[in-house]
Amino acid sequence: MLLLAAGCGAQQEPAAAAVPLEPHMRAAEQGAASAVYFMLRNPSPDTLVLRGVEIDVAGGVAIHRSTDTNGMASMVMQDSVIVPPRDSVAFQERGLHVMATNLHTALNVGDTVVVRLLLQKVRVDTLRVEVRE
Amino acid sequence: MITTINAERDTIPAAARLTVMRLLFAGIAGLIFSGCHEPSFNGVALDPPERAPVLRLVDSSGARFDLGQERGKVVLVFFGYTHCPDICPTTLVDWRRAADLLGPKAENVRFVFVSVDPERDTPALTQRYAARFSPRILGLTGTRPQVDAMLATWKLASFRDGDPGDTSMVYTISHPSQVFVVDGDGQLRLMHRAGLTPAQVAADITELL
Repeated sequence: MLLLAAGCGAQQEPAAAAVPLEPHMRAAEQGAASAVYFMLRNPSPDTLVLRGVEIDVAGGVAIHRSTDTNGMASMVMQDSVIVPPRDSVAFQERGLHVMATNLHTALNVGDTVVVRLLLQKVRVDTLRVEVRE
Repeated sequence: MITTINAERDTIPAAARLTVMRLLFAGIAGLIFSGCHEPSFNGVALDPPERAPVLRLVDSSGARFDLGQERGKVVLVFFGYTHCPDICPTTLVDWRRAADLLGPKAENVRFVFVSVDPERDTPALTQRYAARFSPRILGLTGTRPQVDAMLATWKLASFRDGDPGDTSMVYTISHPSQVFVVDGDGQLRLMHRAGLTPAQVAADITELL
């Protein structure tokens, strides 16, 4: 069954994100897991390092990258994320994302969640993300 | 002998030779591309299609779902887990959007989400999770032996990530990333790789309906 033959030219690469990457989080039930998506921009001339994330409504938070290798979906934990000077890194579906586990409360569409990005050694940036489906 | 053959060939008018060559070329091209005329899919097509593997599980209401009994409907099958934060919900949101695009035609489609994490996902939890995205999505799971047997039948793998000795209930799972598409005759026809748009998914379903 896994010997799959390609079709006749209809195969396409995954589509790029068609909408601007606004900060948002996946709706989920209490106790479940969710993910946060946003664009991390670094307008400065220095390298930016995201070393962690805090979300009050989550029992656990980790930076993950989803991978798809030979049809197997996995997630790889990232200790940190480096954004080069005047560059940006997208946290987006099926890619880099912040995983929030063991949610203390249900996240419903339209809710707002506070997400703190731990940057460099001491800097903390607060992000307000909307909950979406 | 060689001279004779060349002499015979020369007796054919140049225009006729050109016509024959064109016909031959068209015939060969037709043979080469005959498999591509239609339908055209966004997913990866199985060539040839084959009978879909068995998928038989009890849903949260106690009713038995049997893929083999879904004749006349296109069935999309995805194997994931409800604690999956990224790939699974993204796929199910895309299914809901594809169903919206299909409109009334979605009545002839079954979207089936199968949890490969029975340690945390009960049939009721799996169904509730699936229904959050759309009431059209059926959520199924089984016991560990049932899930393992099903994966073996589908020639698929899934495993808990991290330390095998870790007994924590917070963990992630590696699971198949593709969606399997079965036509109304029970034939496994397509594999949707992650990343197809809802419009592409809907277009493939429309081709199969």
